[in-house]
Amino acid sequence: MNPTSASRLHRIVTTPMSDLLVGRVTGRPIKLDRLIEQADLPEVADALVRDVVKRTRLWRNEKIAVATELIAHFRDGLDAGREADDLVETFGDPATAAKLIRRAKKRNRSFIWHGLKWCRRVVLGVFAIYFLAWAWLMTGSPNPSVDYLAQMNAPALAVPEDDRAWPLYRELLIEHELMTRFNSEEVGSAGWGMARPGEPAWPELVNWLAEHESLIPALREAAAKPGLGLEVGFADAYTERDWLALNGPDKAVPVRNAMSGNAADRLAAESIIGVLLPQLSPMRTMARVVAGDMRLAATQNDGERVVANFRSLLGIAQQSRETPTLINQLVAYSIVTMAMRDLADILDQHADTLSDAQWTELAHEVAAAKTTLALDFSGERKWFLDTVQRIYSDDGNGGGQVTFDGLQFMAQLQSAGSGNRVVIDPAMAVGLPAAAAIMASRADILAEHDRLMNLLDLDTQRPLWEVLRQPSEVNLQLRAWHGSYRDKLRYAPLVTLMPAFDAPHRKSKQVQAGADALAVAIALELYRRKHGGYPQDLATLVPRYVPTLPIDASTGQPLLYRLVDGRPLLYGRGLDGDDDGGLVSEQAIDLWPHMPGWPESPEDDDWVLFPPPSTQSE
Amino acid sequence: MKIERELMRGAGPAAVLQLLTSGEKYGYELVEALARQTDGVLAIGQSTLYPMLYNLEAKGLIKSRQDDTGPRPRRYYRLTGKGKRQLGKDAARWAALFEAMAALGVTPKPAVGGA
Repeated sequence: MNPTSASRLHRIVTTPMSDLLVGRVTGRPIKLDRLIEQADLPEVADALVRDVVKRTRLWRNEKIAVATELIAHFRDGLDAGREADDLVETFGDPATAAKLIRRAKKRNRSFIWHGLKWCRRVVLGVFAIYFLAWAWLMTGSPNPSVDYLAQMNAPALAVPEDDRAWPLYRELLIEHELMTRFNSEEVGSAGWGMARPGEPAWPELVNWLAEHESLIPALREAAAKPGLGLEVGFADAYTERDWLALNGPDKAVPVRNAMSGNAADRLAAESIIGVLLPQLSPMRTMARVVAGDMRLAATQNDGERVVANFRSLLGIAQQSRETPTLINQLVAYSIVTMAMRDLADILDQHADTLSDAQWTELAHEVAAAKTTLALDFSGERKWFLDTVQRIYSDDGNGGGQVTFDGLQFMAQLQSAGSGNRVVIDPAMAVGLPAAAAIMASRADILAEHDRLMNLLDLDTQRPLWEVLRQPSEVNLQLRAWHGSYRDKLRYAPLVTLMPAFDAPHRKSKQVQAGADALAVAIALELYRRKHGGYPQDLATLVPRYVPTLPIDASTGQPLLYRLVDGRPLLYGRGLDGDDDGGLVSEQAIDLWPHMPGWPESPEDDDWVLFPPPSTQSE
Repeated sequence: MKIERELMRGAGPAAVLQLLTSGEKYGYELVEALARQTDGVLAIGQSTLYPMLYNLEAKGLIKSRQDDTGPRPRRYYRLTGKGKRQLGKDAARWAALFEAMAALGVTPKPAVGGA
């Protein structure tokens, strides 16, 4: 074989592909071992080159470049007449050389490699943080230690046995089958149970009351008791007789859900959010019965029974709010509203049924009823505190961290009503550590909650005209949190679980305004009886008939008064703030004591508080 | 006399850059030139020189090329524009350091207005 062609062939065979691709036949050997071997270095130099190159742990082509350079170095040294041992000795420590070469060569790598290196570091860092966050999340567990249900039940348990109304109500509910017969669809709120004198269904109510003649005095006796004395709880907190009274004989006794081994399920099952308030519907039903008898008593000229029934209605309302939740208070408002509305109708249509003394007594009852209408958020505070102790761990000093079980429990609260147990799916699981890291600590959440609840308590002192036109600070804060993804997550327990307080607040203020107007209307009646006619202005009533005059709660200005067809009309200016002469549009009929214009009646309407605008009086 | 490691870490790169001002050189040439021109004071072990060259290249102060045309493949290093500017800065720093040390009497004061 021709040596030249053999050499060329050898160069082509040993040239790397990268060189061939750019058209270079360099003869650089592809194999590192072969490269060093071909260098034919003395044994000590050969070993050193191999050792250094191996220790660099670089890429293959980098190792080849280093080896090539070191080989050239030693060959140059040998060619210069130096001994191999001398060259090796002056080379230095191979390990150090390899380390430094590796470091330097890596610096020479491409931007892409460096970019990928940093990406890898970032990804690993994120994974590490994520892993730590998971570990942190899983280390804590909620340990509810305060029995807030017991605190909620404290008022009921403080009522002495003999002063408790519930045992009496329970037997009356069973005996008269109130929850099945009287509360049925044809009788209940949409049927003859709420009928008024003159309405077609009125005789049916009168007949029912006659058939249950013994019921009303017994209800009045129970309503006069200082407290309801019903300890609320989960389904198993009530006796079979309780359930017979509450649901009737045809419904099965509710059974409390069996507790699973799942921690989140247990947290949810023991949360006071699951506490039943089955007494509220019966209380409303019994109030309807008493109110019906009050309307009947007025038509029968039995003023004494009117007074007794009105007082009983206020008693039932007061007992209904014994458990201090917002729902209980709303039921109490509805009962007070029903009582006042009926009393206003009686004053308008059957005023002569009652004596001066009886109207005076009722005026005092109406004034006293206002205390029943004060908003109390203490139950909502307890409810939230109970929820927080199920979401966070507790370090014993008010602090604690979000827990995995707590987040699952919170997810269950948010999906309440679906009836499904919430299972953390992989997508949720990925986000949980991040969510937990962003969420405020237990101490911060409790501090913010306390601040908001204090603001709410202050807000209850604001007059209605301000409430209607200017959102509360609490609402503004919640809206601000809602507007930011981070804050929405950070304050998730508050954003999700703060009570819907606007409606109860407005309702409370409007019922109070109705009570104020009713007290003035009674004073006008007493004035008419004394003077033979109504006064020209309300100021004439002060101080003999009323100690002070109420204001128009829709504007903060004096309550408006005028005589229409010789009959008194008491009203506020309504949402538009104008005196429209007592204008009431069709949509505002039968809304008493709610103000037209809120939320959707025509804004021109005035807020007529006496007599209650009704289809009957049209 | 050999320079201590820490001092060499600062002096070595400047010395290599300076040697490359006269033209491109390969590794062994640089080792030899350093030892010869500095009477062995700045003699750098090869274990230090090659990483230093790779570092200087990574910083863009020198550039290398592979020469496969000679009796054996060699990598030649030459100064870049950036390397020249860096050498200018290093020279100024060394001059300032030398003057400061001289002012303290650590080194002899440079002769003024020499022949």
